[in-house]
Order: sequence, then structure tokens, then C-alpha cells
Amino acid sequence: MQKTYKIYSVIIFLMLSLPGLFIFILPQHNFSSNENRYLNKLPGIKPDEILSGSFQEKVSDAFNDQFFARGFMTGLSTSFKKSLGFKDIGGAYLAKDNYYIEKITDNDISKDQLVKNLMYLSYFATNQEADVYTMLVPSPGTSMEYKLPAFAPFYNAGSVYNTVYTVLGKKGIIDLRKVLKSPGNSNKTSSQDGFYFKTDHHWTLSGAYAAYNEYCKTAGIKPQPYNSFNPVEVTNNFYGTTYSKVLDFTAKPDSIYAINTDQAENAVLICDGKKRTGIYNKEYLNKKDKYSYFFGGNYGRTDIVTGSNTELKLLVLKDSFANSFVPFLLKDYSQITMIDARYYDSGISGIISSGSYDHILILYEINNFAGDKNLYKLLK
Amino acid sequence: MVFSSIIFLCVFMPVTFAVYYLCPAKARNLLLLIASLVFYAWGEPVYIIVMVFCIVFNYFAGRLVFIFKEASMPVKAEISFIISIIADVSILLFFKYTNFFIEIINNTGFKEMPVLHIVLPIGISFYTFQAISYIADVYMGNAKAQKNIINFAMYICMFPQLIAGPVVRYNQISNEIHTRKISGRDTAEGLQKFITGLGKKVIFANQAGELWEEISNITASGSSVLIAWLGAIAYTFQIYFDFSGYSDMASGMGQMLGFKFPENFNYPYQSESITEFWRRWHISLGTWFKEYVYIPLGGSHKGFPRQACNLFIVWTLTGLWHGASWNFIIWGIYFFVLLFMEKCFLLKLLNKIPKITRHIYALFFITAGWIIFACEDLNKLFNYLKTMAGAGVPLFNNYAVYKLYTNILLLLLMAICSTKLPVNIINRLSIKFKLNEIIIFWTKAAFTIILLITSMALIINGSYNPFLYFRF
Repeated sequence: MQKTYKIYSVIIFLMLSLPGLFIFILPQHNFSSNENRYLNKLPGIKPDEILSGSFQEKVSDAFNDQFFARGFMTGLSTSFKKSLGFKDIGGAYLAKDNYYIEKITDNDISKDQLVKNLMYLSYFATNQEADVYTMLVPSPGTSMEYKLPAFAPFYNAGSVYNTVYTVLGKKGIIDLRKVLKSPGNSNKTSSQDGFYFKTDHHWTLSGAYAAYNEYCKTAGIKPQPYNSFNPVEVTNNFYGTTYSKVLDFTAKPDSIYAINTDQAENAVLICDGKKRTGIYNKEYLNKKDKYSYFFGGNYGRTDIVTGSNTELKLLVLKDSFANSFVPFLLKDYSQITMIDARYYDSGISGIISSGSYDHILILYEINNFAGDKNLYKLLK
Repeated sequence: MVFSSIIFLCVFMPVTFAVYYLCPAKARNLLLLIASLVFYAWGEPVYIIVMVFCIVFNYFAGRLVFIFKEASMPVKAEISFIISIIADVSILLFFKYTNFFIEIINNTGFKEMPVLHIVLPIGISFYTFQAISYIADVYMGNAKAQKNIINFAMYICMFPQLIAGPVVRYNQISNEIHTRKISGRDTAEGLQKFITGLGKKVIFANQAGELWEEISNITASGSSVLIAWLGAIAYTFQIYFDFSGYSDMASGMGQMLGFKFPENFNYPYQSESITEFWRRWHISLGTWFKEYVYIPLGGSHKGFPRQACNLFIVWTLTGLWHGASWNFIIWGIYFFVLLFMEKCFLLKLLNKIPKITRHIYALFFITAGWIIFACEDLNKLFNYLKTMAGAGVPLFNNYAVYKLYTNILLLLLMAICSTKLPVNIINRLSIKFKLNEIIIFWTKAAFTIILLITSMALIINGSYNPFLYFRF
């Protein structure tokens, strides 16, 4: 029996001490692409930080983040919570059909900020000579309510859209709630996926195409059929942002489709001052953040010379949902400027007065829009 | 340092115990003292000075009281005893209650005083209580004064029970301070107890805590009776598994070091009355108040009115000990009222009703009590109790149904594990199948290994990892 006690005690001590040792001897990691965030590293010793206790906190955080089997441990933790019957983990619902849907409740929507942003937008729109269109994309949880776990709380999108209509009126508003509601409408779009990714908060190419159709109707453009854009699968191994919240062993990766046209290949871009050709950035297909294949992520200002034989010019004020949507419009405009207010600090009015745009499109996912603290820049 | 952190589990604990086992028995108290000071300084690098002062002061005070007693000078012994107690209580009062009293004075409107910037040093409520028990034991002749300041310092700040108890009274471990034996069995069983406690804390208390945290912050419009009760039950489990888990970890490590700490919890939620509950909950604190407050005040020996008064004092102090806030005083008095009623007539009445009703009665008042305990803001407390009672909210809503069915398994597991049922089942099975010692041990061992890996996974992944009794 004495031997038994000894063996057991040694096993436990090794289980405890070896991971501790590994933290000191293994190289430290900067960034976890799996979790989509920077990791805490062991800090340098600073006497004042020790006295304030912040050194100790940083060390504790680093020990969690630099644990040698962190990827396995986070997955294990998720599996355990799933086996307890939890239906939301890390801020995302474990929805039906392997969907992970960001959990957004009424508490998460700031009505004040929403109304503020709508007021900025409303002032902005009244002063424009160009036609202004507003497309506020419904959250995945709104469009796919039927995929959420039973009784799962989700914010009341109806009341949010009512607020939008109350402040902005109906003119120029493109409401996507109906078209994005039906699950992957295969006849029309020949899509092989739904309107939203399973593991990411963005819409898929099919979702963006459905929005393109609606946009064309409102802006008086003739929409082209989905297949004419020659969509191709560029990766079938995409684990997106909602996956990173849950970190589930059993998650199935998404495929990303992108349109494959000469224009997409040959358009000339200036992204925050840097010139390049082609709207896609293939590098990202080897990284975790594969959605950034479209345009290479978000820039403050992106100018696209499309090479189309038309006079029309478009300005898009947008978040990342626009990145997979704008490619559909390359045919219809000679020049497209995209502004992401989060990364753009110069005045927007300057761009408008010098650009002579015919159309202005405001394109945000509605929860992003409601929480954005940069929209005051519309009036700058 | 928190027990449920990777730095404690993977660095502090293995290093400390490895060195402890390797070094000769003579040097172990010194080693334990150094380790404890490092442990404490990690979380409280500045206010460690308060603890060091408390150690040095009480060491000399104890010597003085003892010398006067030995020299048959009772008056001087009494005076030095009283002065040391006043000093210890003053330290606690100053750091814990100054701002509370200033706010009370400010609220009366007579005088406006600025609130002081005082941080509550971690564990001060525990180590001052241990110091008081030492001085009192020496004065009452229950123990000899400790000659060696290293041994004494080690008693006051031993890291397993330093920051959240159990409150180990000096005479309980005075022998073990000098000589203690550690068998292979102590180490193995101590480890198992430690891991069980870690699991209680990380697997149960943290998940229950997250549920309570979410529910306690929802707005009135999203609330319902069911959700309020779910929250209350979640908190009831959180505080039990948090605190008893911590006690298990402390006593497990104590056993690994060669100490036998007193049991702090004895399945309190199995109680059939509030009186029984308090015999099973935080036993070391209850015993402390009984030994050093209730009995010195005369206990039950000086007539019924005096006893009622003594009970009132003890329970108000017990409440106040848990925090410098009105809700804790209300919480203490709430239990005084219940205990007093049980003493007078309720217990007799309870004995006439079926057992299940007695359980329901006890659990109802325990759960309601925890809500008083949890809500420091009296407005929030009042509103929460109102919601539980059903005023102005629906019986249930979608949110409640969602929370109920996604947490029901967790709640059931916690309910089962807060009773003696699992232990009883294991015992019965091992008798029935005539399992030998080694099989039973390895079954438990395998279970604790799984528990340890799961706990570590949850610690590494989880953001929610507080210790409730840290504040005290």
C-alpha cells in the first residue's frame, strides 16, 4: 500500500510540475490564431509593478496563456461544458446544424448609441447630392432564429429596426431581413452554403449576393445572375470568429467562396495609400483569418478603379461585411471608394466634395452599427 | 496567490512541497514560514507589513501573559491580556470597518468626514482571529506560550489556511507545531482531498457563480420568479462549493504537511433546521465565536434573558465579521431571529412535521439568507427578494426556461454532491463487492486525476474565477 501511495503522489506531482516547467523552458507565443487574440507573456520584473500587484496579475495571466497544451485544454473545457448541457459558451450559442451564433441580448444593444448613430447618419444623408442607401445587415441570430437553441434569449431585432425607420424614414433603406431569412435558397444562387458562415459572424458569398440583388433593385441597376460571377471555393478550411469564442473540438470548418472574374483580378486598388492590383489577398488563405482574403482585411480608405465602362461612382461607408459584397458591384461602377470609419480619421466630407459620387452606400451589420463609436466622423 | 491558479498549482505547490519533503524535520517550520510569506506577499506585497506586525506583537504579548501567569501575577496577566485583545481587535476594526463607520456618521448628518483610502488586507479577518485565539488560550491556561517566534509566525501565517480559513485555534495544533509525522498515506490522501476541493471550486462554484452573476445583473423587464429563484439557488451552491472547496484544499495541504485541521463543513445543506445548519456550516468560525465570545459572556448559564442577549451579540458580530456592510448585519440578525425562535418553540414544532418538510423549511431560509448575504446594495436586495416573492414579474419567461434546461444537469449534480450520498454509495459498493483497499484507492485516484485535468482545463479557459471568502 505504501508503494501505491508513492506512485500516485509522484503522478500528481509530475502532472503539476511539468507544465510549470514547460512554461519556463518552451518558447513563448505571441498570438493565438485559434482564439484570435494576443496572448499574455511573462513580464519583466519591475519593482513598482510588484508593489502594485500588476506584475503578479500579468504572471498569472501569462501562465494561463502560455500553458503548453492550451489548445487541447480549452477544447476540453468546452467539451466538458457541452456535456453539462450548456448551450452557450464564451458568448456564442451552440446552434443547430453546427452553427455557432454570437449571443447578443437586449442588454448588449445600447439604445442610446444606436439613436446617436442614426442621428449622425440622418444629418449626413440630408446634405448629400448623391443618392444615399442604407443597408443594415441583420445579425446572424436574427436571420437564423430557428437555428438558435430553444428559448435562447436574443435581442429584439424588430424594435431595433423600428428605431432605424423612426429616425431615418423609409427612403433609401434596404431591409434585408426577409431575403436573408430563408436558409440558403439554392435555386436562385446555386449556393452550396447558407447565408452566414457556421463558424464566423460574417455572411457568406450567397448572403452577400442576396444583398446585392436587393441593392440593385433599389439603386436601379440590373442584377447579374450568381453564376455569371463565376464563384469558386477558395478554401474549405475556415474556422472563424464565433468558433474562436467556443473553441469546440467538433466544429466543422466553413468553405469560403469568392467571385472569380477578370475585373476582380485586374482592378487597381489604393489601400491607405498603397497601390496594388486585384481585390484578393491570397496570403490570408494560409492564415486563420481567412475572411481577410477579401481585400486583405479592413483599411481606413480603399479606392478601387474597376476598369468598367461606366460613369457611375460609388462611396461605401462600411464594416467588414462590405468586403465580400463590394466585389459584386465592380461591373456597375467605374470607381468605388470604401471608408471604414474605425480606421479612418480624416474628414469624410472632404472625400465627398472631391469625389463627385453618384451613390453612397452605408453598409453595416446592425449590431456593429448600433455599437460603433466612430460614426460622428460622418459629419467631419 | 489563489489555489485555483496555474501558478499556484504548477509552480508554488510542487516547489514548496518538494523542498519541504526533502529538507530535515527541524528546518520545516522555517521553510513553511518562508513559503507562506512568499505566498502572502504575492497577493499582498505592501500590507504584508500588517501581518508581520500582528505576528511580532502577539508573540511578545503571548510571552508576557504567560510569564505573568507563571509568576502568579493574575492582575498583570489580565491587563496584558486585555491590552493585546484590544490591539488585535483594533487592527481588524481599523482596516475593515473604518470607512463603514465613517459612512454611518456621515449619514446621520451631524458631521461630514472624508472616506479614508484603506485597502482590506487579504485574510486579515482570519489571521487576527487566530492571534486572538492564541492569546486567549494562553491566558485561559489551555496552551503554553510559544517560545520560538518562527514557530509562532508559522502558526499565524501558514499558507493553506491563511487567507480563507479554517480558523485553526492554537490549542488544536500546538503539538503538531513541534512534532509531526507525515506518512505516504497522508501525502496521497491529502492530495486527493486537495484535488476534490479544487474540483468543487472550479467545476461547481465557478459555473454556479457565472450563472448567479448573469442572473443578478438582468434588468427587471427580463426577470421572472423562476429566474430569481434559479439565481438564488445558483448562489447557494456557489458559496458552499467555493468555501468548502477552499477548506478541503486547505485541509488536504495541511495533511500533506503533517497537520490535522478541524473539519469546516459537514454537509450543511442536509440540515433539518437552522440550528443544525450552523453546526455544519463554517464550523471553525462557529466554534471560535462560541469559545471566545459566547461562553466568556456567560453563555446559557446566567438566565434566559442574558442568554438571548448573548446570542444576539454573537450573531450580530458573526454577521459583521463577514463584511463591513449593513446587509451582513441584517444577515446575522436574521439568523439570530431564526435560531432564537427555534430555541424557544420552533424546534419542537418542527419535530412533529415530516422530515422532508423540515428540509424544505431549512433550505428555504438558508437560500433566502444567502440572498441577503449576496446583495450589499440594500435596494438591490429588496428588489431581488420582491422578485423572488413574485411582485410585478411573471412566474417564468423564455429566459428562465432556457437557463433552467441548460443548467439543470449542473444543478442536479451540485445538489447530489452537497449531500453525503456519493460517499455513502461508494462505501456501500465497496462493502457489497468486497473491494480491497488498493482497488478503492486507485478508483479514487483515477477519479482525482480526471478531476485535476478537467479543473486545469477550466482554469486555463475560464475568465470567471473569484474566491468569495477572500474579502473577509
